[in-house]
This record gives sequence, structure tokens and C-alpha cells, in this order.
Amino acid sequence: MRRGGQDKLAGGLALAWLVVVVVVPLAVLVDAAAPVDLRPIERVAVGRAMARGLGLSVIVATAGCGLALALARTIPPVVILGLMLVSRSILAQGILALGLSPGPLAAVVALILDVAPIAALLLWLRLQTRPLALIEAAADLGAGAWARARAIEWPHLRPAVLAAWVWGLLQSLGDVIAFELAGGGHSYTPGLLIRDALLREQAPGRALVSILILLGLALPCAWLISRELSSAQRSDWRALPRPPRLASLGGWTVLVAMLAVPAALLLGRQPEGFGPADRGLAELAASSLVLSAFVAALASAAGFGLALASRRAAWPGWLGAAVLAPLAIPPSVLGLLTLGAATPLGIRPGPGLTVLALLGPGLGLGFVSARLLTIVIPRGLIDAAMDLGATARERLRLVWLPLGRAALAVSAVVVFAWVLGQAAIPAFTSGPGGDTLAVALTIHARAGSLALVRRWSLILIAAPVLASVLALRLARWRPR
Amino acid sequence: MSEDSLRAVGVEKRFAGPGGAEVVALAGVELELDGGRHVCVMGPSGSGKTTLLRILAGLEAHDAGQLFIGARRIDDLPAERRPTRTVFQTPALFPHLSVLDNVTFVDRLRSTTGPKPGPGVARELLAGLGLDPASFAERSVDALSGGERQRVALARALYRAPPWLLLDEPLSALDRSRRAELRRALAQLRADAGVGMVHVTHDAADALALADTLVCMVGGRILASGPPDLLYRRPPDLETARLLGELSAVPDPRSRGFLRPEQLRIVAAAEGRVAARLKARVCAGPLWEHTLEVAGLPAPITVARAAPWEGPDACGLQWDEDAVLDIS
Repeated sequence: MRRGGQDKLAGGLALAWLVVVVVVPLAVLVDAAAPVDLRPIERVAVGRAMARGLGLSVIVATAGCGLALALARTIPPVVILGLMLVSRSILAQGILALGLSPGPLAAVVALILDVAPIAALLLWLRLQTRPLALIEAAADLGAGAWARARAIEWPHLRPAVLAAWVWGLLQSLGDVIAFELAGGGHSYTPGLLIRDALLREQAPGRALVSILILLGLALPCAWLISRELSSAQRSDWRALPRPPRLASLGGWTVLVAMLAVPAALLLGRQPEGFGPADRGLAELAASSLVLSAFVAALASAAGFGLALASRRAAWPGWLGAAVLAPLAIPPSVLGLLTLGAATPLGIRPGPGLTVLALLGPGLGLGFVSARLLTIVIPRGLIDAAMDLGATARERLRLVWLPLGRAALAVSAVVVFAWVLGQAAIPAFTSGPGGDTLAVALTIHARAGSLALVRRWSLILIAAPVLASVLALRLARWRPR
Repeated sequence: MSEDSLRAVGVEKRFAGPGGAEVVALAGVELELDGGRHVCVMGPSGSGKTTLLRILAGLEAHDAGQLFIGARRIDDLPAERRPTRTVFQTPALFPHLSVLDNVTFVDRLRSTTGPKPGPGVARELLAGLGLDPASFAERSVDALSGGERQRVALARALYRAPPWLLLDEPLSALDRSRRAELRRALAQLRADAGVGMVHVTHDAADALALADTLVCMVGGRILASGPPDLLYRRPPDLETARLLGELSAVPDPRSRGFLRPEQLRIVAAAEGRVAARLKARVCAGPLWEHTLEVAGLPAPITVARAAPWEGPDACGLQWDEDAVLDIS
């Protein structure tokens, strides 16, 4: 197939994916809500929830990025990956176990701790590609630290900061879990409003308006992130210089503070013996690992392929935006949309629907990781392989895969970890009792079975940590 | 025309420039090159020579025109199916493969046709390019210097070579001695392998030393083509003449035309056709360059000679009328 044909195929697939994951569920909701006529009191409620949610989300995103920068400069990526695996529901419970009173502060802190690791990973990936030659040239020409930071470091870091900040903002804006578990019922956020409107009050019009507002924020953000990612240039792949002592101290302090939260939950009283609830959770743990591995394998392979296609696509920004849109939409909203679309189609909640709902953001996550990591593979190598006669398949087998192995392994682990800890989407798409361990633990936490949550949270965290260590070893492996 | 001849017919290429303006990279290039020849394409930066090479390789799409090798049209073939191979200015070696695996990369491809050469062929190529296979074959490409990398890239291009090799300034990153050495090796390897080469360079010395046919490009157009010595001695126009070497105006205000620096002779004042004054002299490798002032001429005159002028600064200049280039 000629290159133009491949571009069109990649673009077509991305667009079709956007239609399936976002447009169709939205259309079903529009159909259910029509004609949309909000009462004045509903408009006020939506407006207030949005304003409050936006304010809190800006705090979460900004603070999350600040912590992320401190982590990214100091902490080894495997530890950051480990932090990423601690699910939001566990963080919310941990915050309360530390002694914080349920309320907006506890929910905001839980969200900050939730978004910081993934933001740190994005920043770490970007920091690995610092344009050291440019920085050295600028220093040689007499540019001071501030001038270098403004003219070189910031433009280079900006795509990752933007992606991380927007991620934090949207995750927080559509949150249900943190505010439900740690919010203490004091804050009514957009995520909770949408959930109640759809599931409890049968008010699809109110939900639709709120979802459209969130989409209005999410889709331009997806396009912005995608544009930054496509314009990011290849940089040096050199070891990051050791950070200054103060920055290093800051990073380790943040890490200790972040570890204190799950530790507070895990180090408490453990249940005695192995009861029927444990047996159920053990089965769910096994099925969650399989489900996460399945989604991670599919999403990271497809994300890697699309990341490669986007390097030569005619409109890489739009291709990326289509892939990133499901990731930019808050998980609870995506879960609700998927459930809303599946119900009239006769698809019941269960593992199949959960996999479908998780594939959208999983693909986006795989795409971002692969795109950031494959920036360092020079275009000239691919041209050389093509020039020597390598077909697209041979280029993939002989050049892309050996060189992009690290990108593929890391993106698979990132998706795996995210899926395993994800409770917001499966909360809406799961069958009774939850399809995944994360959802079941949220249910147990809500019911007050904290001892059980402690035991299984440990298991939930241990498996992906091992997977991340394995992935890093794999990434370093060099074929002879 | 041989069955491996390379032909370009009306090849055009435009790029989007700043502010949406179009930049013409190639303006209807016409070329006809016999197979097995070493063709050097010379031109200043931005003349379109690298774009032409990338279009020949299929790495850049052209806007109009056709390309043929023999009777076969190749411009509708993707890069991987074109019977050409490129050596890039920055050697693009696969970092996950050893030197020998890089050279024999095409053995792993299904599309590579013909019998696989014996195991010694790749090693012989490396040796021919000055890389001892015993110490280089298994080495990682990360452990090579810039010059060594470029030679590995050349060996890779020459291994199971197609009818045409496209060389994008392959000698530009090398030091002087390596450059001369590699120039000789390249000429020898071409003679042995019998492949044609389109060699883009902005270095007149490389072009004059290596080319059977020299093509001069300016502003996306072919200015002149022909045997290099003829183009150097009798360039058709001033731009081609300047591209191939320095020029001085005939140092007589009453005469027109130009002279190459080595065609001028510094002589004693009484023996010269015009009086001149030596302003400076520098050693430029094998020749000494002298800068002289001639009364009535606005620009200084450059004279090149094997030995420095040791006579008085007030001197004369002499030249043969046959050497004057009557171009404008």
C-alpha cells in the first residue's frame, strides 16, 4: 500500500474509533434527552457544579504538575510507575486513614496524589529528551540559567506539562470516586451531577448539558496535546544530569509524603483468616489481571502503531486528537456514556462492556507514551531502511520494534497499571458486584470493610509493580 | 542510452515557504545519464540538488515530471522498490545492529533478489573502505567515529548494489586525508562494482576528481552538464565558472573576460603585461594564493602558484590569451 493510502487508513481508523467510543454514545444520549429543556433551578445547579468543579480542578492540576515536576527530576521511573498503580479509591481511603476529615480538602488531596504520578511519568519521558546540545550551546554563548529555562527548557517541556496539566484538570472535573469516598457529601462536582442525573434522577437533559460542557473542554484539549506532541522534535537521548540538591530533596520529600497515604491504609488492622469475601476478591483479582493485560496488549500495540503512523500522517494533530479524545474525557463520563449507549443496543453491563469502555482511554494512553518515546528515533533511520528496500512490515520488524521496544514495553505497563487501578469506568460498565478488583474494593470501602480493602489493595499494587520492573528490564535488554 | 540509464523528464518540486509563499526547489529538471557513470551534481546551498536526490530515491514526492531507469518508469514506485540506494549526509546506521549486520541488512529483506553473496563479500567491502573486518565487523555502530560510520554506510550501499547509488555529500564529514583516501576507494569500488553513482556535493575538488559527468545546478535548474575538465576550462556561463572555482577579471582595464587564478603568472614588473602590487599571500595547501592590486581595477586579483612569490611587491602580471574565459 502506498504511503498516502496508509495515512488515509490510519486517519480513517482513528476517526471510526472516535465515532464508536464518543460520538455514538453521545448520539444515544442526545436521543434520550431530546428535547433538552432545563428548568432554571437545573441551570443554576449545573452552573454551580461546573464553576466549583473547575476551580477545584485547576487546583488539582496545578498542584499535581508541581509535585510531578519534583518527582520527575529525582525519582526513578519504576517508583513513579509504582505510585501510578495506587488507585484513586485507595488514595481516598488512605487520606481518611491518615486522619483528614471527609470534605473537599480530602478529596482534592486524593485527586492531586492520583494525577501526580502519571503527570510525573509524562514529564520524566520528556526530560529524557532534553536538547542538551542546545542547552550547552546557549550556556557557551553566555545565557544564564533563567534565560536557558525560558528559551530552551520550557518550550521543550511544554508539551508534556500541557498534557499532564490537562490530564489532571479533566480527571478531576469528571471525578466521582474521590469526592464520593473522601468528599464527605459536601461538594457536588460535575462528575457526581452527571452520575446522579443519569442513574438516579432520570434527567438525561441535565446530564447531556454537563457532558457537552466537559466535552467542550476535553476535545480542544485533546487537539492541543496532540498538536504539541506532533510538533515535538527529536532531541538528544542522554542521561539526565543529577538534579541540584534542593530539587532532589524536594523530590524525595514528595515521594515520602505520597507513600504515606497508601501506607496508612495498608499498615492498619488486617482481617483474620480467609473468608468468603476474600475468595470472591481473589477470583476478581485474577480476572482483573487478565482483563488489564488484554486491554494493555491491545491498546499499547494499537497506540504504538498509531504513534508511528502519526509521524508521517498528513494531519497528525487531528489524528492524535481523535485517538486522545476518549482519554481526555473524564473516566466517569466515559463510563456513563458507554453504559448509556450499550443499554438501548441490548448490551448488558459486564466484562465485555468494561473492556470496550477501557479500550478508548487505554489506546490514548498507549499513544501518548509511544509518541513521547519514539520521538527519539530519527526519521533518517526509517528512510534508510526504506531506501534499502524494507517494506512497511519489514521496517516494523527490523527497525521499529527493536528500537521502539522500550516505548512499547513502557506504554503496555502504563496502560496495564491504569486499567488495573481504574474504578471509575468499570463502576458503570460492570455487572453486579463489579467486574474488577478496583470496583469491588470501592464497594467494600463504601460498606466500611476497610480491613478487607487493606489486604487486597496490597495484592492489587504488588502485581503491576512486578510488571513494571519486568518491563524496565525488557526495555534495557539488547538483542545480539 | 544503456538499459541502466537514468532519465529525469521535467521534474518539478515546490515547498511551502514562509507566509504561505511557494519555494521552487526544482523547476523542470531534465537529465539523461548513462549507467555505470559517476555523475556529480554540484550547486550552492538551496540549489535543489539534495531534493533531486531524495526524489530519485523516492523519499520525497515530486509535483510533476517522470523518472526512468532504462525503459522502466520509477517515479510511481515506492522508495523500497526503486533500484537505487542512498548514502545520506548523516550516516543513518541502525544502532541495534553491529557493523557487519548493518552492511548485510538487505539479506534480511524478502524483496532482495539474486543469489546471496558469500560471507566474505561484506568483509571485503569493509576492507576496501579501510575498515579492518577483524576489528570492525562485530563492533557496535555506537563505537565508531563519524568517518568510520560514513564508510560503513557506503559499504552497506555497495553490498548487493542496485544499478544506481545516490550519494548525498558522503565525504563532507571527513578530514582531508580520509577524504582523499575515501575518494580513491570510492572510484575503485565503482569501477569494480560497475554501478552508476549520482553524487551530490558542493565541493568542486570532489566533483572534479570523481565525476565522469558533472551537473551544475542553481535555483532548481540545471545550468550545465558535461565532462568536468571541459566545464572547468570552458564553462558556458559565469555562474557555472564561479561554482567550479575562483575567478579573477582579466587584470587589464581595457580587456574583458575572466581568468582562473592558476592561469595568471606573477613576473618581474618589467616583464608583465600590467603592473601590479602584492598585498598578501597565503598557503592554501598545495598552492599559494596571492592577492594583488592592479591600478584601475576595483577588485583585487587572485593568483595561485605552486611556490610563493619571493620577488618585490611591485611586480607584473602575465597570462595567455587562450586561457581567458569570454563569459558574462
